[in-house]
Amino acid sequence: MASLSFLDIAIIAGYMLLMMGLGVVLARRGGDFTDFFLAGRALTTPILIASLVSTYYGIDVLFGTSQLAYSEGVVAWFGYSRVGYFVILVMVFALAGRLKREDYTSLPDVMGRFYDDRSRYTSAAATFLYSVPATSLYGFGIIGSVLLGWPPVLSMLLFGSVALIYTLAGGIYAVAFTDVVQFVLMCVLLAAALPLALDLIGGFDSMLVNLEPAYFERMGDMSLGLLLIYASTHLAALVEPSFYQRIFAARSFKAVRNAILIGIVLWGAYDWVVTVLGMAARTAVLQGALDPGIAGDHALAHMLFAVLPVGVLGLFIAGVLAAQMSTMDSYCLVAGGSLCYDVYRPLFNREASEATLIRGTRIGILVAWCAGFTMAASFGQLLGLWVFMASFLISTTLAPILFGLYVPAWRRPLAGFLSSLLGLSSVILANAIIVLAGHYSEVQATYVLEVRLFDRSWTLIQEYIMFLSVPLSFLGFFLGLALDRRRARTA
Amino acid sequence: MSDMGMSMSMTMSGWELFTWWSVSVLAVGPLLVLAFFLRDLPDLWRRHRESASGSVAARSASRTFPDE
Repeated sequence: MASLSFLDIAIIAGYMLLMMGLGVVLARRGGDFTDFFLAGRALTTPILIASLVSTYYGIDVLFGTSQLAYSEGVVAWFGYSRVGYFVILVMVFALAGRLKREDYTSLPDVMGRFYDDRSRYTSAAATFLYSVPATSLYGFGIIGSVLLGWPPVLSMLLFGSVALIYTLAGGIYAVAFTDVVQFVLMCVLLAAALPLALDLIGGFDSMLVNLEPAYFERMGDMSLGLLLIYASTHLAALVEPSFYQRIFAARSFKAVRNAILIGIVLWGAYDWVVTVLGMAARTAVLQGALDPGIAGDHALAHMLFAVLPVGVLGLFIAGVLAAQMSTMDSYCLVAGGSLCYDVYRPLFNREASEATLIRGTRIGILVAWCAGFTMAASFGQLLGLWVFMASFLISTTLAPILFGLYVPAWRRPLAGFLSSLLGLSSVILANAIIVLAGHYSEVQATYVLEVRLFDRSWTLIQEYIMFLSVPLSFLGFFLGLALDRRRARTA
Repeated sequence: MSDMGMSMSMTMSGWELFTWWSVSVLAVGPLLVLAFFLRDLPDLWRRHRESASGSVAARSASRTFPDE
């Protein structure tokens, strides 16, 4: 890939300085924990839109969706991305309103208040693990190596530190204010890149001429099983800790509802533009405009290096960094807050002062960042880790949250605890079996275990674990409910 | 143009329209959001300074979108 010009590098450096400057301006020396973590529950629709859209989308979407589009076509949007919007719609209309009725602070806080501290701790563990910014930091490594030609660890340290510093300094205000800048950059620059990419391949129609018809089949050759797997990974949106944090930080349900609905439109447009860019990159390869040996997940980057002029390329890379920083800062804050408010406070210091809670959250942010950096620098394969973290969170919290919100009479401590415990232990056990006894399949991009049962060979993949652990979590809930009632009768 | 070619071309037109609509949403949407955010900024900023110093009770933020 071509090297960057001085102007591009200056623009990227300018963006980094802007983020650091915002961190300095928004640094906090006092105030209370609710302000540091939830902006005093006063965020309005525009800042919520920017924060939600930029937090939920990082380079996993940019590179992952474009890779799928590059190799399979429009199914990347219709088969994968679209499922996510339905789950988020369910989140808005089925859960957000009920969650906003009380002054909850975090997802583990909901669990703690519905059930007891045991459920708070299990869900805090799940929230912390899910929010540790390992995949975000790994993404910085990819950006550095693919777009800048830097060693991944250096990129993780440099870009990750910028996001860490302003998050530590300003809490949610710094995260949300920087999100606005990051949101504008990541969206507008992607929109600017598409016409240039289409111009390189000779317009939209040349995709029809060059690509196979299968690229335009909406569901491609996607099986029902694969669709279910994609849908199951999107289930994380129902218990997504950063969504919960924004819901609690919003000034009203209406503000967050409008923000998410507008966000769905923006996410849909973003996914579609990324999909078309992936297909355009494939067309450019077929036309000989791009090297046929490029990897699918790097195709979009190669395409943009080929079409973006000096200056715009630097802005675009700043936009990619923005997308990733906005994701990392939010998850760091959620992980730190969860560690302090939902573990340290109830376990060691129930009378903790506001200053202690803010200091504890800052320490938690630092711990989360260091844990994420260690993971990102140690593991070569982070997709499997993400699937584990998502299944861990869903299996530990989904059933107790749903029942607690919809059937208040079932908010029995043992039900919440057994549900969390069964979900959590089954996820750990099943992942250990598949990862240790199976192998990583490059073709399926996941861990696979071949088993022989009833004279047939079965292929179990890591994503199937949720089909076991989520029902077990529901079962655990009803078991706990029955045991709790029996105990009440005998008492 | 053959029937098949015409059919594909028409389908592509729909996709092309959707593509330009998506580009417009991505280009204009964030700028509109930014404009509304800037309208809120003075109140958000005042609230942040008050809460950061811990001296004055925080006030609620301003109204922005018409339906709020």
